[in-house]
Amino acid sequence: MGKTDPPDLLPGTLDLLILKLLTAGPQHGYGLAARLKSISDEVLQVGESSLYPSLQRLLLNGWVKAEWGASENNRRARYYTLTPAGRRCLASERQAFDRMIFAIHKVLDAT
Amino acid sequence: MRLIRRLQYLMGRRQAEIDLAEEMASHQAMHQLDLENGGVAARDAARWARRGFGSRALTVNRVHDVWVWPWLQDVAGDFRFALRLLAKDRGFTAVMVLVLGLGIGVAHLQFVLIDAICIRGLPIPGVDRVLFLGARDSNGRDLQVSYQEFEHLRAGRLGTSALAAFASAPGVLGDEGRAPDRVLVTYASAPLFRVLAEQPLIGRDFDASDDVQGAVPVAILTTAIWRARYGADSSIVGRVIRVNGTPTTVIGVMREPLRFPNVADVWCPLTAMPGLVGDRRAARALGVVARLADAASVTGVRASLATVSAELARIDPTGNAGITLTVQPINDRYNGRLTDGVWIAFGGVAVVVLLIACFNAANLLLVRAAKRGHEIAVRASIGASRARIVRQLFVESTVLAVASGGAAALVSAAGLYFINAVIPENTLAYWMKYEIDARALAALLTICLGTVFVFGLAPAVHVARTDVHTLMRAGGRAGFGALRGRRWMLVFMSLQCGLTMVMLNAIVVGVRTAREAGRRFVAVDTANVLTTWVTLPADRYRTPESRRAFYDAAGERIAALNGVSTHALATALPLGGAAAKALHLEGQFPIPNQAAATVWTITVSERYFDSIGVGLVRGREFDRRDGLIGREAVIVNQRFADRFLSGRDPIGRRLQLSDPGAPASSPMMTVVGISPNIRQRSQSAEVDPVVYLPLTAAPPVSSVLLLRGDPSVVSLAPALRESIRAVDPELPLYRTLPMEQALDASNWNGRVSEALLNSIAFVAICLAGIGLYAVMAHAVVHRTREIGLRVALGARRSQLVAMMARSATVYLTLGVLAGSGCVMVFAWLIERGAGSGSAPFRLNDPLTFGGGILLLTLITAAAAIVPTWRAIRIEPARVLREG
Repeated sequence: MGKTDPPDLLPGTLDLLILKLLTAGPQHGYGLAARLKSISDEVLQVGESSLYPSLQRLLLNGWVKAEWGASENNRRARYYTLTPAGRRCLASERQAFDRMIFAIHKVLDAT
Repeated sequence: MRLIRRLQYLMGRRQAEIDLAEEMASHQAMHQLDLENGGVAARDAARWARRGFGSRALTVNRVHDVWVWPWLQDVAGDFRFALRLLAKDRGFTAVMVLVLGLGIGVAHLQFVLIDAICIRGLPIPGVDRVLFLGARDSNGRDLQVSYQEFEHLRAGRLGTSALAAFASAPGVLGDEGRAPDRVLVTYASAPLFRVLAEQPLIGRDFDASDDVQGAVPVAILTTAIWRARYGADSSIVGRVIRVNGTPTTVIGVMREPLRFPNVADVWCPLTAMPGLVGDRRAARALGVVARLADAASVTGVRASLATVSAELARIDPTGNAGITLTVQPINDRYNGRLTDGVWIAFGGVAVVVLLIACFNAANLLLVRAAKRGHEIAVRASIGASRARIVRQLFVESTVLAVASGGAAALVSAAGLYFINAVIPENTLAYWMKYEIDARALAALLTICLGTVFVFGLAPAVHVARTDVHTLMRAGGRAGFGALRGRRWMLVFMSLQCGLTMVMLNAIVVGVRTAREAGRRFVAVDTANVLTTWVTLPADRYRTPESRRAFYDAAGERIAALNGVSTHALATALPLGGAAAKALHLEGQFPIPNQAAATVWTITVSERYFDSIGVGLVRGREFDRRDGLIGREAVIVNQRFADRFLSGRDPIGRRLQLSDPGAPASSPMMTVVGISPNIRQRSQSAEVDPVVYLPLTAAPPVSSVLLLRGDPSVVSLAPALRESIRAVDPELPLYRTLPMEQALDASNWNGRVSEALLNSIAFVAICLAGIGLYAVMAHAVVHRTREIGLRVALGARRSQLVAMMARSATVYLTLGVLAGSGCVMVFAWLIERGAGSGSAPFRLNDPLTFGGGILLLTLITAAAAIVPTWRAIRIEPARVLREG
């Protein structure tokens, strides 16, 4: 079960992924980790010591808001919601990320 | 935005931590639940979930790092550590803060005074184009200008855009149905406020038609009197009030704090001044100010003035011979001159105190460095980087410096509070404000900060230069001691002793001057005397006879009061100043082109000397008839006899007096008595020649009544007021005080300077003591092992004491040597600045030197006591075990 941060995750990528996941609606930390794991077919297993600092960084930048609420199985959980600033940030980060991936591909495909 | 969020986080940090903990718990719980739902046994699920979560501490730290920059956390840690260290080393911290706080505080206090008195000047817009015009006689003495001269100045083309003369006189402000107030009236030419570039707050300025004879009397009020007497009622403009009994229309109010020239309450046109335009045309009673026209220069004005002077001398050869008109920027006239001996000495003292404090701080820090060498070596050896150690020391220095700055601000604030409390109201000119000057404080603080940083970092430098290994081997014994630091400490200590000796010598000079003054002046018996001032309004007491009649009537009623044994009146109390007059002794012919000698005059009534408890040396007091025509009499003081008659008997000699710069104008007067020397002017340590004039000859407009009697006399004020009201119901009494307090009030200047110098001297002595103590204490710490060995080998206590005494003697000798040098330098500086012979005692005469060395020896001995005691208490067994 030993989970570590995906070693190859580019800096800031985790923030981007969380923002993207939050476009589906408010979610708590465990939910985010679980979604990330299932969507990526268990490739991206994010440790909590990365997940929570990342969430706090998003809070600091004003891209998400946090509120306490009840989870699906009636536990108290902290839900994160995307803010308009977060949405704008996601769009521009997404573009930058695409450019980066495209560039990396070009380099790898070069003969 | 992000910064605000960071601050919010810091404010609600506890809540944030609780939230995070709960969040993590909930995360784990949900994970566990999922695992159980997925078929894992409950116990395993809990364990897996816990293990799966990873390190909570790491998460908490990382989250904290997101909100608070890591470097800030480091610095905050350094601060906490520094505070803990300084709190542990309480003695060092307290002494350090005390030394720097006192040094900076005192220096700042002195700067504030010098700035207010000598530098800042008047708050006039474009002040460098405002000039003060005066006159000077052939002796180089500054005089005021007469109305006659002012008329010439006004007519001549001087290159000024506005020219105004002014003179102040006490007066009475009255209204229908209200008690009158005593005020200071300044009579000024119409353009005065144009010269000062001031507009009235409400109402209008004077215009030329107000300042002619026969104009409707008008007045402009200061905001202070407008508030105090009229409750800031703006309908005051146009109201008729009574100035010295004359119905006068108020035309305006000037803004706060303008009270030009000094502490005026009311301004009236110059022509309204009693007698000035008429019979006192030639009296030198006016100050003149002017604003330069745009194209003109001071040099141009000076040239025009030379022409006017020559013309005046031609028109009026008796009154204006040898008189030249002068001009200078107004601040040169109103500011104290920084080059005067007093201010050189004062500023010098400030620098010396500051230097002593800095040397002291440096020494204390070096001593501390000696103790910390080991600690720092340990830190370096377990891996602290040099930068890390320097940062730690830097933070420590900052904490020290900030604390010292706070202490300094407290010291200056307390000092200024004291000074402001002592100065009687309405004494300081309106622009003089003694208040904390943040910029000066910051500058002084920077100097001391520099010292603290440089010497606070000494241990780091040392660690950087030496390899840790050596230090560790030397261990706690030698630490930082065995190095260049000690040589520096000696240098600083010598310099500090040297500067201290300058202060000590100055104290000795002060004490000797005060004792000399005590020997030269006779003491006035102030017990059981009540004094009060009264001013007779010009409209009802125009003639000398009417004034004499008032004083006589008042005297009769006062004599009838219970508890009054004797009473008198005078134009000034002792220490209350005197009027300068030119002396013309019978049988001594005036030397052409040289002004006559100055004497100081006071008009006194019968029984004056009796009332102040001073017996005449010889001769008699005035009687009622002295001063009548044919019986012109004066009393002179001992100094007068010594100075002008070379000690020959003055009784029966005859003399004349005149306004300075004017020919003899009074009748011949005969000396009938000799008084001892009573201190009349508070600022001067000199004994002045004083001539006492009889009341009958010239009953004054303003005078002080003195009532001597049994101890109940000081509580007679209400009865006294009743008696005066019976004679004249509209006359205000003012400054009704026991004589002791009245003298204190008039001598506030002397008392403030004395208190100030005493406290500065005290501070300097404390600083010197602390400095010496630090060095001696350090020597003991440094030599602990050696002393322990000596004791183990059989040294007796007396030998240890002798050893300490020897090293104290070495320090003392070094100090005295450095001190002699410093004293010589300062004596030379003062002499160069002030000219020799101005002070009765010099910093470097043998007796003063002796006194200074004696005091320094005492301080050294006192500083050596505790370290010596520590040295003889050293237990050899312990020292050797530790070694």
